[in-house]
Amino acid sequence: MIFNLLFIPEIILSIGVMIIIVIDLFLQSHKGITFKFIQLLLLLSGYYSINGQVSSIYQSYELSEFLNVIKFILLFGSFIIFHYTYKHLKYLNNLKIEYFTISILGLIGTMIMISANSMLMLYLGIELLSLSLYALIGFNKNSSLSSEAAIKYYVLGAMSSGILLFGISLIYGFTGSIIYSDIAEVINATEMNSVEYLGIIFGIVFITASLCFKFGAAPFHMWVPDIYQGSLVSTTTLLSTLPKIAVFIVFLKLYYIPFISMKSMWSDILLFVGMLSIVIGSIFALTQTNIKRLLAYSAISNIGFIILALGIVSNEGIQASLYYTIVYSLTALASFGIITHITCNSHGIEKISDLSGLSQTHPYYAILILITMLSSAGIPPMIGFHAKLIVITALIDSSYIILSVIVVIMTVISAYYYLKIIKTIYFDSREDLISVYSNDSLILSLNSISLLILGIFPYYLFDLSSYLIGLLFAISF
Amino acid sequence: MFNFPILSLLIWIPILVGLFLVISNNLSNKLSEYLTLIITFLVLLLSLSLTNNYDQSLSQLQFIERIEWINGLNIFYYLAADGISVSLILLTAFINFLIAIYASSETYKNKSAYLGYFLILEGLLMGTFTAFDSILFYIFFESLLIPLFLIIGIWGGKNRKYATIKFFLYTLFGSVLMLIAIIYLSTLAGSFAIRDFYLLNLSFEEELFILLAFLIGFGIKIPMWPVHTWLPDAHVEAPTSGSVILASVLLKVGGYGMIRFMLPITTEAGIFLSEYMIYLSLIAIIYISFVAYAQTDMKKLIAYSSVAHMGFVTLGIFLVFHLLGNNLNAAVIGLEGAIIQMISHGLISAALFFCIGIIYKHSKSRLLKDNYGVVTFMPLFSFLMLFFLMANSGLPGTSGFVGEFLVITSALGSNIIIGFLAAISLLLSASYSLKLGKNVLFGENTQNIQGYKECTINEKFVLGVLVIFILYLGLTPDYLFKIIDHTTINLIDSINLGRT
Repeated sequence: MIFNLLFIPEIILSIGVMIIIVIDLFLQSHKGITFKFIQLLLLLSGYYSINGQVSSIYQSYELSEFLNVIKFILLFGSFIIFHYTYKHLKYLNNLKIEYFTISILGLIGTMIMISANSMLMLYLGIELLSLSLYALIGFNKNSSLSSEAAIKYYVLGAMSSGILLFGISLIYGFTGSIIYSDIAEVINATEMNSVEYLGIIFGIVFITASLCFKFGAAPFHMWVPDIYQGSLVSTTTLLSTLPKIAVFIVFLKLYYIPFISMKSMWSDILLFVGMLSIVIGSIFALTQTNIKRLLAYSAISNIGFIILALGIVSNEGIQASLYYTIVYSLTALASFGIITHITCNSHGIEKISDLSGLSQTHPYYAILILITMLSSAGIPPMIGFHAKLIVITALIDSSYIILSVIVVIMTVISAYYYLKIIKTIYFDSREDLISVYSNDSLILSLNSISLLILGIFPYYLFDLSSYLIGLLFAISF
Repeated sequence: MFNFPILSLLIWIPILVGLFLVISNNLSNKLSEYLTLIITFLVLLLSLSLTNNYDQSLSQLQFIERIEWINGLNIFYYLAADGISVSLILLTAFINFLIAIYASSETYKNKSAYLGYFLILEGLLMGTFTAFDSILFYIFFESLLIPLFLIIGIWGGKNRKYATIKFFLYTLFGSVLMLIAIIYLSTLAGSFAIRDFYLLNLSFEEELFILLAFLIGFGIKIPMWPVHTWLPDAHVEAPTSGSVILASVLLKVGGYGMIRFMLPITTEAGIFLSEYMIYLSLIAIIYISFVAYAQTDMKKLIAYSSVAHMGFVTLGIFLVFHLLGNNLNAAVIGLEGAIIQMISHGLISAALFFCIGIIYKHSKSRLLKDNYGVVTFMPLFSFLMLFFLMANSGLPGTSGFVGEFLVITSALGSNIIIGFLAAISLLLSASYSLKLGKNVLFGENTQNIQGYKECTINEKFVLGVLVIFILYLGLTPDYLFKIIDHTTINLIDSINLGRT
């Protein structure tokens, strides 16, 4: 039994990381081989995650079929991210295997976060993730922006961790437990308007604030544009996918299991945070000229959609939020992946105008960006449309008509800046030298074109998300 | 009776070939021209066979294809056709074939992509006219924007960036509100099928909001006054073939949507608001005609004339609301007038934009003051263009007369003043059409402009075919009537039955 437990992705990754650090010492001049080992490690843990086991030996750590699929998605995402990163770092002459080992540690952190069934385990996962992100953001030592971003994220991240701990201690103080299921029982038995009830509400508010910070949702979004701009594009790719998926699952598990009986308290908070993120993400992006800052605001508004769907508290809402998260991750991977592949005047793409005239020199990449941006804007027949459609349907199902009207108007506003990128690529003439430094764009093409193919056949993802939700919750809300 | 997925073929053949043309970047011009010609001709043949196989004596949907698409949300891949769809499919296939012929004699940078986007547009238009699931309809309706956006943006004129973004955001804004209305209806009906929406019993307030959402969505597309301002910009900047497809088919999507969604779903609210909507249409007809007269740019003049003519379409549709209670016959006449006006305007505006494209090719200017005395250089062309201008002003014997006559008849059936105001427009459209003809064709060539050359064989063919069809529809509109007759009567009857 204990032996079986060795074959869970977290353990395999942890042991593998140690081995890779040692291998790297001996193969300093053959980093390509070490990278192959890393890919092998991800594949191996991917295999064990999809064929993983279901066990509940420990109360505070959960291994379930649902989480196994999510872990597979995380590993699959990291595989693609590492593929992009490897090329990008190689081009920048900054290829260090440490980058990947640190990323894998962060990946383990995300897995601990989603598997956690107790508050402390959750905290440990979040800290492991944050610590590796601090290092990754500051990885570009020669850039002052990168160091600034790292310090900023470190200080703010430490503060939000403090807030999280404070919230956890409040919950612990008033319920007497840190295990999710125990907390659920105590909250169920707590009377309305008693002192304990108030204390728990305070705890939930603090935890929400901290998680929203980690999520990058408004009004805790100030760090997002700076950090996205300062760090390497490959780090940004990682930042905008893996932690978001993990935090989303944490939201799902926390709010819909221990805190579910207080849904009337937190659903309004989540709706408000979601709406604010959508509005801020859409409006503030309008004036951006730096493409990474623009995509940062776009991420904020996408996160807003996820939180909004979570705040609806209905089966459709949960399903929509999971669907949206998967679609958002795919789209973010594609949009940042393209940016890692393109350089302008032998530096990375920074300004939107760096892309001007791409369609004349590289029509194929232009089509990939076109698909990705239209998907982000939610224009059919791309998959982004279906994601937004499902969220809006869930909103209208629960009679939030006004909210849905605001949401679609914000979608139109945000369509403007996606169109601006398309305009730059297709309608502006070429001024700077654009080079695409890798002809091996198979994974990138698959990633972008999948946005169109899945948009025409959206039921696969839809079935997947409803299957997953069915695994997680047997009851309806 | 007809177990052959003809509607799917009409949609997907052009889209797939178009995607191939867009992606295959190095295809030679000749090859892509032939491919486009063959495909558009094939689609034209398919749509003709569709028309032949369409049983005109039946009023129910035909050629139904219905497959579950997204089962979790109850969304179906549901295609079908009725008389209105068939007539618009025929128009789309015909105009696209003419565009393929016209474009094959022109030179564009990256021509295979240019032709590819037109093919994609053709397929999407077919989808819009045949989708009977509202989400499927919406997807086709929205996707239309993408190829047109790129056509105008890449191959357009000087101010194209502004025009494209304005056009895209304008229409997107209209359609997202419509999306909310559709989703709201679906939560009540439990399905996204358009036919199921007809059976709902909505409260008056619900109907009012849904009507407004549809009015904004389709009103921007058609376009109605005062949300028409994107159209002149888009037209002026678009390349010739882009203007043609925009004026002749894309605007009809708005009218089609009004007939399909607004008339049967929001009848009560429509009756309540019909007076105001009729005023809006009359403003479009009269005020925009004056605006057209004042234009100094030929393309803008025709663009505004399009807005004015589409005013007749909306007038015909909204008159149905007005007449429902008391005069059903007049309502049927109004609706049939609106549909015939759509088809006829599709032919005439296409012809006029082709003409302006030909003049522009020689003089490199669209301004009235730069083009004088074309008749001395291009006598045959001038004759044809004069004919189209006459048709545009509603000369009896041309198709332009039939639709306007029916709408005016129907207007007289409801109110003499509305009829009178609508009839004024015949005078106004004659005045701006003749102004264009007088200046450009017969004006005195004081600046000694040279360089006009008689049309090429392709251009002659395109314009000649259009002349034939405009005359044919004008003299014997029976063919078209037969296609749409049962559908319109059935539609009006079912709306009326639904009320009582």
